[in-house]
Amino acid sequence: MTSASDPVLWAAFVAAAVGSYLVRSSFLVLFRRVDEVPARVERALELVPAAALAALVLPSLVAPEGSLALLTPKVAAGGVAAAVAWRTESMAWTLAAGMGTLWLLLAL
Amino acid sequence: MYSAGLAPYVRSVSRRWRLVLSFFLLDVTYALSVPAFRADETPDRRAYYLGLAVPLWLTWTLSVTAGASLGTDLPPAWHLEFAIPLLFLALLVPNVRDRGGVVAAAVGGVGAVAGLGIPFDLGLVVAALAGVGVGLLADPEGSDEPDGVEPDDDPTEAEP
Repeated sequence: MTSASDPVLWAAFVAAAVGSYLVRSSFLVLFRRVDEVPARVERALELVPAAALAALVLPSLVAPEGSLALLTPKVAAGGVAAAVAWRTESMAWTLAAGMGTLWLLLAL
Repeated sequence: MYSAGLAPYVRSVSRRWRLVLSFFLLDVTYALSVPAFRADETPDRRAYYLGLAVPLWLTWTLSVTAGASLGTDLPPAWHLEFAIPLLFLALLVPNVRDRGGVVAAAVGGVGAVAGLGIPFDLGLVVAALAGVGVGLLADPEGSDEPDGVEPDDDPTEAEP
């Protein structure tokens, strides 16, 4: 399955784990030094989830294979799921609506 | 970015515990805990976060183990991979709360699609940062409506 030797592979795993942890803990540990977060920074941080999650979601809907494909069952199912997410704010219903629409369209 | 986003809400937590919280900082823990903290729904943020994160982490680890051992036996026709963007979609929608959020999501999403060719997923990072920047310019103040209010109206009304 892989050409890398086991120690090299494990070293890579450990390096990735440590690196990931350092990045994630960075602000949580350092922020203590700043007593009051400036309003503008706070507003910017408020916008992070919308921007970051959209950047994760949209490519996998409109370009799942790496190139743009707009008229696909996945785009349609994503649209239905987005509407359901808006109305219900429920993860379960969003998943059910999206997967259901995809299966239905693929079966047609 | 998640680390910076969560940091203002957990400044009352001791440094030792913040090191523990960092370990569990993932997309889902971030996307679920920050709105709750922002709405001030929870008296004990550390307990809320851990109550969210530990079961998630256990389920995740068990599921990854299960997936790794039987992954190739699952029929590709089920398109289970599609559940991942759907999950992120379910996390995204409640986090788009005002005009700035709509702009940030639009720029982040379209930018990430435009940047698909850039190696190491850097396009995604740049797009997300651009989304925050443009959202900030478009709507520097944000809405001051009381938090925790459910948007129960017609979705189209949320568009500027």
